[in-house]
Amino acid sequence: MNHIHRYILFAVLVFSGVFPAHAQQSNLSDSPDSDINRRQPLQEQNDKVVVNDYAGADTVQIIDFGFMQKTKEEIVTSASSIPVPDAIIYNNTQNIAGFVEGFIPGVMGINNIRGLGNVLYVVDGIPGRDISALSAEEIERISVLKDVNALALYGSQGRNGAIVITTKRGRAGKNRVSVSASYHLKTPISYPSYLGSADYMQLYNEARLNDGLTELYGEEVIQNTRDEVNPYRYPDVDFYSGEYLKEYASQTKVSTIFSGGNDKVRYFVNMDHKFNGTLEKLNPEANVGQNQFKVRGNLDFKINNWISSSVDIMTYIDNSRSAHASVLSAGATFRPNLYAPLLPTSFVSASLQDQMDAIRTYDGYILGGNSSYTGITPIADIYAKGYMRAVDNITQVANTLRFDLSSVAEGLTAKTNISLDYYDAYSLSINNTYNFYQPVWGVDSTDTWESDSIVALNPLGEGDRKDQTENISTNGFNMRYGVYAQLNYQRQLNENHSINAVLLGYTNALMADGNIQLDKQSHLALSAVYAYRNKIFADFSTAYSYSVKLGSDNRGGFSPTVGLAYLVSEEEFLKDNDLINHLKIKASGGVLKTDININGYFLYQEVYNLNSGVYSWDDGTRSLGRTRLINGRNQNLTFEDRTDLNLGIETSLFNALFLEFNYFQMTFGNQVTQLQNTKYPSYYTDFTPYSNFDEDLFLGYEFSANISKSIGDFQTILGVNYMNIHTEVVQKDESVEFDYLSRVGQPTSALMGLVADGFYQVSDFTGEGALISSLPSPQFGEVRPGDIKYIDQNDDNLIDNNDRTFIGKSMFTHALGVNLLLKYKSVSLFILCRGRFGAEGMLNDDYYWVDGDDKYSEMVLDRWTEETAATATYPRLSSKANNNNFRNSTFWLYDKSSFDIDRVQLTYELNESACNKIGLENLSINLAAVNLAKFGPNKETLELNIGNNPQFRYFMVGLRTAL
Amino acid sequence: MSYFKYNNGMKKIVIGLLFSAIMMGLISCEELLSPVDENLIGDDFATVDPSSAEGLLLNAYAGVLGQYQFTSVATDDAVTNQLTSGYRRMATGELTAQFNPAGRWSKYEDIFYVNKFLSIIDQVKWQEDSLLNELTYRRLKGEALALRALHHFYVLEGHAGKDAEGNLLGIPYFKEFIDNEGNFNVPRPSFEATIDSIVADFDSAYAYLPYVYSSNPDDIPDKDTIYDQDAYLTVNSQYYNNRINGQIVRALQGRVKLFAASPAFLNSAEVYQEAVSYVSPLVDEINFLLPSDGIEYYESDLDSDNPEVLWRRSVAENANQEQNNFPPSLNGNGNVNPSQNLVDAFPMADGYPRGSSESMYDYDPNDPYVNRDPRLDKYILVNGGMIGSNTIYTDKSSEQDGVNQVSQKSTRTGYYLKKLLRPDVIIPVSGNVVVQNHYEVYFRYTELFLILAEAQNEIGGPNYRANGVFLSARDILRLSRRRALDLFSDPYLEGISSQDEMRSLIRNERRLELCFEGNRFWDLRRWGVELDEPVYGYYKDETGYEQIEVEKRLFEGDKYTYMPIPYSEILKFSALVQNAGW
Repeated sequence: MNHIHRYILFAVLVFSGVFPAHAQQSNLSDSPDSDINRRQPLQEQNDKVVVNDYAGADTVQIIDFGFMQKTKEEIVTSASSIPVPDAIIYNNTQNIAGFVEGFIPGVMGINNIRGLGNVLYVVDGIPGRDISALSAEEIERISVLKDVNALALYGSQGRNGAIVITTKRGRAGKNRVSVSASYHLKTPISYPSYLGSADYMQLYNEARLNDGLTELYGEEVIQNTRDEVNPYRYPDVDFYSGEYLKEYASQTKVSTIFSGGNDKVRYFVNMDHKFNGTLEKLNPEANVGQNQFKVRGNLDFKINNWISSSVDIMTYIDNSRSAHASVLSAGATFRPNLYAPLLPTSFVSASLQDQMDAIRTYDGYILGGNSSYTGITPIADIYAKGYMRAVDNITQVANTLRFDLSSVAEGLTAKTNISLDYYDAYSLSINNTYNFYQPVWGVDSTDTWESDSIVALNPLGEGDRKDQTENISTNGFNMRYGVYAQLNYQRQLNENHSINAVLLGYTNALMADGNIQLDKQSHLALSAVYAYRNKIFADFSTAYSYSVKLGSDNRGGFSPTVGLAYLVSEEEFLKDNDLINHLKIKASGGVLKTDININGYFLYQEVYNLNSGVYSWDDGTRSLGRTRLINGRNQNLTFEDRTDLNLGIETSLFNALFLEFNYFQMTFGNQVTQLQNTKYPSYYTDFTPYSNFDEDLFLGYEFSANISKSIGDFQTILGVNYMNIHTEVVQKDESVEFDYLSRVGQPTSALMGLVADGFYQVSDFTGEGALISSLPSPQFGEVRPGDIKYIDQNDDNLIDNNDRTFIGKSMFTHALGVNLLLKYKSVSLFILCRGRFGAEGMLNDDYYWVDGDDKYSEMVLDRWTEETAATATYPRLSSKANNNNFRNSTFWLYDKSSFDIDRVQLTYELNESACNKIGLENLSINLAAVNLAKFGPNKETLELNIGNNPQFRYFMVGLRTAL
Repeated sequence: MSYFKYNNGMKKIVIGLLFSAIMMGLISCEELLSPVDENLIGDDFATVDPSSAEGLLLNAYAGVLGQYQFTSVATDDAVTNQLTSGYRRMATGELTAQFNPAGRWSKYEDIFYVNKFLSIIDQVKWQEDSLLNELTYRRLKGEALALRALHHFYVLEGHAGKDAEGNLLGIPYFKEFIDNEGNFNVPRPSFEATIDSIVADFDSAYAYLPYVYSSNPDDIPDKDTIYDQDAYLTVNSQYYNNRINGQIVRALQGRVKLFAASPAFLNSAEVYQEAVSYVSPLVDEINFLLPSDGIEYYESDLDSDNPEVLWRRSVAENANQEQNNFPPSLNGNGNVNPSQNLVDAFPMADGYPRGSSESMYDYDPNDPYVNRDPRLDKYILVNGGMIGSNTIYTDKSSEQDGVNQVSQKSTRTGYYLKKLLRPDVIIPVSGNVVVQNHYEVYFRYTELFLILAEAQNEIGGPNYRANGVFLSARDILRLSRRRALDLFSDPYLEGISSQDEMRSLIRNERRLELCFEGNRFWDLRRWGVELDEPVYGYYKDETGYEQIEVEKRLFEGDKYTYMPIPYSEILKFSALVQNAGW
């Protein structure tokens, strides 16, 4: 198998390279921006396919398949695309997601097609590229490939669908310069809300009393804190206050494009600079923010009459500089009464003058601390530790050669592509050591102050020393390289029959530091489309994948797929129909063999690890490595299968309305797992083989409607798309005692948990504090009044893990996108909305699960006490780890559904004559608001980030023009 | 655009370009069609690399349970200040067949490694010389069999119990490696059968093993004198110290038999007698003398043949236990907090129980630590006690070390652990930790003596001496208490007349001598005693000391005597019967 594969790959490469040497000169198709050779008959029908048409003229919707392009007309599968340059004027978004979700049905965010996640990004025909450096300005088109027929050419890598991004290229003719600049203000939408010191201490005392323990904090300390007697002696720290954070930060972006060329050579050069400011207020020297620079050059040139080539180069540097700690993350755990992180020098007793001379101060403050919390010093770290610089470098290079082989056979072309991507992330840091001080408070007789003062400063820390070197550490190094060669055959055989075929040999490898193995893919693929009178299309697309993750007898995987489309509107009875301009029905299906979810190599063989720690004896004079197994042997381990069925219909009505509906069904069978829950004992882990076992089903439908209508100067474009998705576990490695615990038949993202039944009340306990015997006995620790009560699902009189049941699912079942453009003369309004519904989340962060030493959030204000027993919405407080209350249950379940207004943009386009007066072209000015509003039953929860950067609302002013 | 003339030179460049592209494709092709060779070792390594084969066996050594388990925080001896400690959760109402941090089921993994090792031991060429090869084979086989028995004993201790009908069940005994197509649905044999299998494996091991590792010809056991002396001593020299030997096997057999004979299991004088027969020759070997430095055997750099220590792990230089258990003022985390219950178990300095009217010392609840058993001060850091040169105060005014002052650092009971810690370890606020040697002990002579005492008292009472045994239970307690209390006479001990009173005293002595070494959790269970005594602390404020309940022990009811079989295994394997109540 191995050899056959090698020979075929060899043959493809030789064929694509050597054959042309014998070919005779012929004309190179002068299509500047693509490999597409549009067949005449299709062009005639172009006007019947209406796309999201921002340019104001009907154009062909082109879908990039990576290795080829097709028009929306001729495809048999459910793939869609969005032409970015037309849209960007009205949707001046910074991220690619802004052009996908809300425009294309079946997409939930930039990384998720039909609920699968982990999409494959394809940039300029090269699969597996990093897209973090891409900006919207340089993108020509984004296509989304959803089903196996469309994905077959990607082999294993196609498992989760692909987002195919094509960058712009130069066009022959006028040399152009265009500039786009924008300035954003970003304001945090929401911060977590924690209790102040006095409330915290009081409630912590309550928590201890609840546990049958004694109070910890004295009345006097609490009162002094509440009275703000001395905020440094009785601290009340709030990292989310204006003392530590700015109200807003800014973001700027400038993008310049030079493009042009002639019939021999064409160029496209894009340069971007982005700056992203930080909210952190302290130490602005360290807390600088993020700077990104990018340069792309796409060059196309003719080598001779039948060979053309292109060279694409992109390089990108992301440079972020910050202090060693962040109040945004420290704020989630730093209890308000811990200690005062900054002590004003004015509070230090005069008797400490000698010591003070040697102490460093920062803006008039000494760094405070506490000997019990020497590891928790965020403010001291920000001020004194120095800075960190995180640098990401990405460089991408690709070379394409195209051969027109029409001299060999009419309609034959070939292409080779070599690409190399390089990613390197490292950090540079200065790590100073410093002293911080624990104050001793008292009244010093030499001072005249009435209030207390610091009478001693006990140094903590490692001493004030500047770091002499900038420390460098690597955060990751990746190299990806790929080679592919393809032969394309495109021929109109006669009036009725035409053929379009691509034969591809593909190989790709990703090298990441720390991994011995290259992550490799290679496959051969064939896509053959037969068209009958351009109204019936049959597509046979297949890949023969080769996986080095499988045993030598199982390395080849054959993935056949077929697709059929019937353009009904081409039939005589519908031709020239004013009502129905276009009608197509389509179906596709097949099997894709994939290894991308097989996480490792040699999983099929028994592998020994000789370095599992050293065991020594004779007091260390003798030692040997321990030998352990990593997994057991299964020579039959094989590919995972994705099996698809897709049915679709699309139509265009009244020259204004385009409708598309697709039904899809995907089964992921033979998923690789270790059968630890069905077959093997728990202690057998090291010896357990990998097996093909688990199976999941995804099915659903997607629908989109696009209306484009002009009345006089008024133009409206409205796009609505919707997806409904249903998932189900078909087979899973599990053993359960009760049917309701089984995951089979439930959604793949099922949330299992207990069903809460209110709180235990005082009346549920005997005088001695024991639970009355009629209630089931909870097995998650002792319960007291105010703890959460659960339903005993199996009536065994115990509340334990067997009383968990299906209580929700974390994956959305409905996704809605709406985009609307209203245009009147030179003014336009664009609105992008997104809705996601039908998923639940679990409030399981420490912000919601407050016990033990957690910082107290405002959640605890509604806690259960004997007095509030009737109205409480939060369980009683506990100073221990309360495992009865804080576990997954319906009590913590919340509905994640929301409808968001993602973007509203107002654009003013200067008319041509005004532009000419100031010597510019296509000048437009735009004002936009991003993340403008969210509607949903749990909007506050969804908008709250805990322990990191908040979510932002952006207000933007932008300008774009050409010279 | 003149440089774009399509001349001959250009064509050559193009063809060159193409050719290099093809070559590059082909070269990478070769590399791309097979995984990178990771030099992985398949199971054929055994015959070529004896070290790798021996590495399989060493897993079982690494799994031997030492002293640093601290299961005592789930008993009446202590609590932990760690909020999420599994033992703490287990003791406060979370112990189920699905959550059992004291479970021993995973020890089967070590057993499977031993069996894997035994399945290849015959194929390995251990030494070039055939005699050396045979002797090495014998030693390794003996080690493997002994460790297999020991790990089965761990599982038995952790999971033996009675089924719903009251039958006392053991645990499956695996003598073969089971490959992944094999049958894992193995029923539990009877408790006696499991004990028999353990003892049988120990007996086979004993036949293969040297009695001790030594270069002294006098130490060669009679059974092995058939071998060439030099060869035997080469293979079984002191270079194998810390590995299991015949002497250790006999001690472990004594431990196993005492366990089996205990009230919760066979409750059998006959089995106690078997324990005596394994243990007494070992006691004879050291002339019936309890090693004199057995009380603080952990305190200083031991010489490697410390007479107290029968078996231990290799020495390790670190500060782990001190970092976990030093009081916060010494920059430790104060994890293990001994209980007032345990403190109360230490007698007065004259050997009478605390508060006894016959004692010459009055017990003053507000000055509770004077005139007490000196072991109290050695093992437990009390309020005002010293560790090294530091005096530690745990009263409420003490800022860091005071009761509950700093969560997860300060004590919850008023006491810190002192036993097993070395006061010469220094942990600064920042900078380098001063580490010291630590010896984690697996078996020490004091336990051996206490096994002998307990077994003999159960057979025939305080003064019973089994045939050929020189020391009675009373004699052993006398030795132990004299060593601890430095008593000239011990009227309390001599006054004990009944088997029951002696049983209590032996159990108390075992509690004190072996505290914090991982025994009490299992001792309480094999004795079948109540497990739900709450844990008390002893808090001091301006007015004096006050006893406070710190943590409940929610082990109420019979089922807690026998720990559960893991629930997941019961689900998978129909032949496995769960212990009653779980």
